Amino acid sequence: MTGKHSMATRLLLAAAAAVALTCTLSLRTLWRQGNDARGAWAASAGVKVTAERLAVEGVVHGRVLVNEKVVMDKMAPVGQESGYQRAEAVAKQLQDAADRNVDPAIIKAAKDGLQDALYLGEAWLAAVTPEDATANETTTEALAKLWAAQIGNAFYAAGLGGSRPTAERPPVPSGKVVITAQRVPLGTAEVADVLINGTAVIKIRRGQGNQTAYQVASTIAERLRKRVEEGYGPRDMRGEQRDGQAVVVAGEHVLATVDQYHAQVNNSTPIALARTWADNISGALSAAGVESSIRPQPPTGPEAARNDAWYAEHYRDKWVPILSIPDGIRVGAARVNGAVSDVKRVVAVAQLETPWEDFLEIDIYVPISTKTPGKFLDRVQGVGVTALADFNLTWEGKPSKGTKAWSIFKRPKRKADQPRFEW
Amino acid sequence: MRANRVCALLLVVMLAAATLLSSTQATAGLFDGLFGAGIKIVGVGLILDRWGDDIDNFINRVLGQKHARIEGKTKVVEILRVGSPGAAVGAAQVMGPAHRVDLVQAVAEVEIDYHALRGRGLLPVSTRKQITKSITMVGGTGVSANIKFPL
Repeated sequence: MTGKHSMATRLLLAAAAAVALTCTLSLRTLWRQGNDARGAWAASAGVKVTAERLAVEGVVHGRVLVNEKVVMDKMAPVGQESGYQRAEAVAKQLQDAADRNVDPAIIKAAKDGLQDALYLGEAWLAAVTPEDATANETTTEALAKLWAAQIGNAFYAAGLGGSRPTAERPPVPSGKVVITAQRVPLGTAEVADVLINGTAVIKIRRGQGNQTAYQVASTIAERLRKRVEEGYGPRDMRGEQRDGQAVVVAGEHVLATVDQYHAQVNNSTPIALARTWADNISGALSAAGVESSIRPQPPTGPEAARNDAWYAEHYRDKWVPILSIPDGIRVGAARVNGAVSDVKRVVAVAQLETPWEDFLEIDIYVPISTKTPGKFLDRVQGVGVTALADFNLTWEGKPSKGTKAWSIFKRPKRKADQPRFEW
Repeated sequence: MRANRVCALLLVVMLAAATLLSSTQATAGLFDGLFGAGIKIVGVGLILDRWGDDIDNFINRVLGQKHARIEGKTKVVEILRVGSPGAAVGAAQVMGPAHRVDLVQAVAEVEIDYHALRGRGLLPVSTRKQITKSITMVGGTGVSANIKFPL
């Protein structure tokens, strides 16, 4: 009996091994065929590398495009060579490399002596000069890494064989904010992002008037860059209604207008989307270590604490509705305190109140700028709660027969045997 | 840093356990009455002096998960509640401009309950000693979160 089972087991194992081997070989063949087909497609489709002339503040710059996607932007002139000539030279070398179906991963940034440069494997491709870095508002090292990554990604997207280059974003120097616009292919439509240090904060899905989506994103990026340079920071970014339109503002300056189309695409309302974009900008600027320096600075030193006049002018209180959850539902009013401009924006306070048994009480106060918070709370920064008065709307258990109607709101009494320290 | 957090957590658990034990008649003892309240007040004060920044960072991380992160200066200080629900002591996170938050040393809370109605005042003050004397509120600051143990 044992021998029969042993033989059957061996036969089953042999059959399983044969099936596994067949599957492995088939998959390997398919994979190879796929790679061959991919290489053949790349060769047939081709990669078109071009150079474009670009004027930056009246100076001729150049840029390099791979299949119409910008991979090296704002190349500045060096000596007698214009930025456009440099771009042409790089485009020629990249076209040669693309025709040879090079591995995109060999395009790298490295040091050429003291200068940052781009390399195609071991071959020198282009220098990244301080003028390039200034034009692109970053450092030479970060720009070299950015350009290498963009070329590699464009080659890979165009179907060149090999491994996908590292998609890691180039490091941004501490305290430096790089605000740019970038085209993003999304199906057949052209979509553009506004980026802060590589983080997308606004996505423009279609153009406005005669402007394309990329041009709109570029305009927003330019406005934002200007305001940040002027000293506007995370706290100054808001979404609000102005003249019947939802806008994103920095202080009093409009950065972007949100239309109904973008709101619908994002399954939102224009004002909610404006606030989301403003929050995105605030978050990215905070992450970059940007602080607002627009507001008048308070007196410093020992006199600061005694200068009541200054604080009386710049801080105020306001009573707003408060809703408390989840320990029953309470509604009432809360007094918030903070800078005048921040307090103005507060329309309600959400309180998260969580007693844990009878020995721990946790209260979290979130001043918000909307009365209908969505998935995330729209917190107004710089404002805290100093007082509240509310009313409990819930009761525990069903009211007994004959109970007066008002008693359903009655708060459950504390247990008689529960010790309490009388102050 | 990790050891510090473990110590802070242990102390908080001990305080919670002490409060829990004192809330049951069968285990009345060390943490009951005025003496027990004094131990809790001193214990919370010690925890906040030593690990206030860690608690502050923890609260900010929790709030950040709901996009309710606080961007201004925050600080965790001792909070003392008096009023009809009973006295309590704990930690409160205050927020506001950095130069004002630096002045805050404690938060005095007064709460009055009447049936379903409740009134609560939260006063960030510039010195702990003045809680029982003339209270000097630090303008421009407010409370964003607090955690309390009933005494």
